[in-house]
Amino acid sequence: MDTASLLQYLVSGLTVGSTYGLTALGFTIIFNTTGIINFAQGEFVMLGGMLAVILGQALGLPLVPAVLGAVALTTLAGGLVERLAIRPARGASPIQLVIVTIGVSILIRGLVMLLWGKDTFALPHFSGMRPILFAGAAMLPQSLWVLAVTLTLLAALRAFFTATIHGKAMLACSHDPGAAALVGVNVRRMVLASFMLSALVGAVGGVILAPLTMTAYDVGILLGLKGFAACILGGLGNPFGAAAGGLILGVLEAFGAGLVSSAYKDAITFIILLALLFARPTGLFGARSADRV
Amino acid sequence: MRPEPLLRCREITVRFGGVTALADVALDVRPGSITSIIGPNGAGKTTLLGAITGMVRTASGSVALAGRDISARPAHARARAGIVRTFQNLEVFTNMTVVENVMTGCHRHVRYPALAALLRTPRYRREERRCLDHALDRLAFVGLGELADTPAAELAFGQQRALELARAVAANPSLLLLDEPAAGLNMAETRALGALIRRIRDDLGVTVVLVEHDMDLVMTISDEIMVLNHGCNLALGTPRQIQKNPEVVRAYLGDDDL
Amino acid sequence: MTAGRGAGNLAALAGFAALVAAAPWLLPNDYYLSTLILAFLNAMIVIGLNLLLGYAGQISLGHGAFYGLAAYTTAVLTAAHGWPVGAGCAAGVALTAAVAYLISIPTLKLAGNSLAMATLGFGLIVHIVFNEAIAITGGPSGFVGIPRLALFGRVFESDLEYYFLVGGVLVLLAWAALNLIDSRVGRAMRAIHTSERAAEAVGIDITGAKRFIFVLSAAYAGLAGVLYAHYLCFVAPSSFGFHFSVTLIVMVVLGGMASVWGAVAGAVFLTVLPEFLRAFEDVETLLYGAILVLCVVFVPQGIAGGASRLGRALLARLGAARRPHAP
Ligand SMILES: Nc1ncnc2c1ncn2[C@@H]1O[C@H](COP(=O)(O)OP(=O)(O)OP(=O)(O)O)[C@@H](O)[C@H]1O
Ligand SMILES: [Mg+2]
Repeated sequence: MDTASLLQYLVSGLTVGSTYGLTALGFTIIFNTTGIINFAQGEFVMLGGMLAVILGQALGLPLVPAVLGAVALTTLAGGLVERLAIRPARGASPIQLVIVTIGVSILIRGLVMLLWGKDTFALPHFSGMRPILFAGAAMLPQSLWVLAVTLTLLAALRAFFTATIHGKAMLACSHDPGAAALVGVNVRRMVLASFMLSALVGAVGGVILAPLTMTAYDVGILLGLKGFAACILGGLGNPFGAAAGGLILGVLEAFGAGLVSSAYKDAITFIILLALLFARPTGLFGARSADRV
Repeated sequence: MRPEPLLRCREITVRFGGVTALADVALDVRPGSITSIIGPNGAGKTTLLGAITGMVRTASGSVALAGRDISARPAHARARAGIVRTFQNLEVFTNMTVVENVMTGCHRHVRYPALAALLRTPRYRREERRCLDHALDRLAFVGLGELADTPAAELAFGQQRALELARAVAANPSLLLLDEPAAGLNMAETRALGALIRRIRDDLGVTVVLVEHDMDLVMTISDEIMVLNHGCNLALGTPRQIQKNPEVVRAYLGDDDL
Repeated sequence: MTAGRGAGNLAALAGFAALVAAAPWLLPNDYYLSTLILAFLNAMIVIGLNLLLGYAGQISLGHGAFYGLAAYTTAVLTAAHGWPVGAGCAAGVALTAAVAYLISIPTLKLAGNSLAMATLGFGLIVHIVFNEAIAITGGPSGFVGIPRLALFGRVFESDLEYYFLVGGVLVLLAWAALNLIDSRVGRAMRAIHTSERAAEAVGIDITGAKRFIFVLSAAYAGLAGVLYAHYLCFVAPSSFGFHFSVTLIVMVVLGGMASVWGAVAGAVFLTVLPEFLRAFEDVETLLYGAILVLCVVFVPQGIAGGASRLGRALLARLGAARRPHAP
């Protein structure tokens, strides 16, 4: 196997892995503040891509406002999900809240299908489709966009969680909501914020990937699944471990498809994932025990 | 000459990361006795019960029950061998009724295959009947007979403590380990508890190890007392000997000064 | 008194059996009969899954795969290798239980979300094999030509016959589950759900109990799977995917955790609901999602919990009406 194709696999793995990582990050943000696995996380990713396409095609917006608008609208949708579905179900157990998010994800999918049908859409590439040659491997400029945006977003979130009072408060909620409330953190507002933030992160992941993979009303199912796998792989309690888990998952998948068999690429990925999980039940980067259902 | 001890622990060492919670601790429990373990907070009493029951991993040391080494056995196997414990913070099965909690205690001596349960065979019905009678008997023994069909979650704190005791004695243990059973009880309740522990020993023939902070209770019902301090054996003796032991007094006063 | 619970169970079981027996005469046409057959098959899986999730507190996102594994096993053995249907069914259930046993060894060491992930991964792998092992399974377009169920020389040709068979099996499985719950194994699994430490302390082998219940619930799914294959005479991977496994969990929770009748109610409700919603065409999916959300918001204890609350409230009101001057 020559280095050029290995590099090719690596780049395409990292590109797809970025979106998995951002999806996984979205999972951990909500999990950390509420203890629930948000099954609608994949729909946020789908909404990011779909809304960008719709804003561009239907309203004729140029690419940049369409993309930014899509992210903003999805963030808003995240807030609505919390206000209209999660908050009314307060007092329900975590597993029941998970069922609520399953309902929400079906609802969002149904709504998008109703409004824009079952067709597949393509978002224009951010800066053209002329491949860049690097060490014999060809990569699309969009791949660079994906990597750059992901890294920037991760750095920004890192700063947010470690340096700002809101970010710290969000982490405090995860450790002990009761104590967080005692020291004056408004837990309810934190839950709302966590849904909006994770919708934002998901939407960004969706928007940057949409030019490469196309988008449709139902792409959120698979992306959500991969994102969940990534965050368990990385460690649920650890946002950046989860993001790293996404990158690892993407790379595994690309090499599995390239080197072994594309029909069984997902199977290979999941076998490796299970092996890692059995070896490290709390995830590669997770220190805390992962025993909350 | 002393009889063969029912429980014999030697050189028990337990570490949590860098902390040594127990260092070379020894404990002998005579059959038919009430043996208390006392010591300041954090001395390692609960950890010692964990080491005896197999719920805490020991770095070294041995545990023998009636002369048989059980150090390698997992927790549930030690319970089946006859060592049953209660917990410092309540561990009642809140998703069951009171009597079901106690019936769960019968797990080790109610035996029939799962298939018999699925198909409701006569053997299953016979054994369940026996289990129920035994559980009701034990509930009456601790004074909760009236509450058999109440959901366990609805019991008051003191009643949940009694329920844990009933569940433990329903197992027909040979050795019963109690971790601070009087914590949170008022004086009258504590006195009743003392009488109950005596009856567990006298009427049911169960050897008892008691971890407790309430000195009145410990001094009145113990045959023998072992004092732990900072994870080490500090003293061993009858209540009278312990009360007069200057080292024990210092360990307690020293901690009070903190 | 406590012994009365067995009698209560029997009464409920008899009532349910009567309802099952009467249902065909209450239904307007045969189409509903086949919906009900599918609902009952789902109910079998959900009763088993509820033993695992509702009672023992262990999640599985792989039960769709167990269902499929049994269905494909009997399909391949009977249609491609000429096995008698009865033997194919037995082999399907046995293989499912054996696979469940094997994967339980590493999997059940995990808890919570890791367990969810591991069972999910297992389900996805099995699903991929259904799709890709085309030579054996027929691939994505499915496996055709499965014989209709025949036992002891009797072929279950009409839907009505099949309905009574499936209804009978469901009643039996519900009965067995109720028996199990009130047994030492049942108490062991409920104990594990609240406190593994306290369960160990009374001598419960946690690993063994979890494994038993995992294998049993897979066997329930397996039994439903073989009955499914020999009912439709056609199986395709899409029926056994991740989506179906999630739907099963939703059925457990919506029906009411830790309730056998809740499991039946949840399965029937969520199998029949899409049939009703079909009339709404475009907004079908949307309504389905909205109903899920509303159910949890307004009936958080599930159908079983909600019903028993309602029952208690009615009884209290009746009692109050009958004894107006009660002290
Ligand atoms: N799971 C654990 N992980 C780390 N350290 C532990 C753990 N359990 C106990 N310890 C430490 O071991 C020491 C002994 O604890 P232990 O609970 O046995 O004390 P104790 O004598 O029962 O105290 P108390 O009277 O307060 O119940 C303490 O320093 C405690 O902090
Ligand atoms: Mg203690």
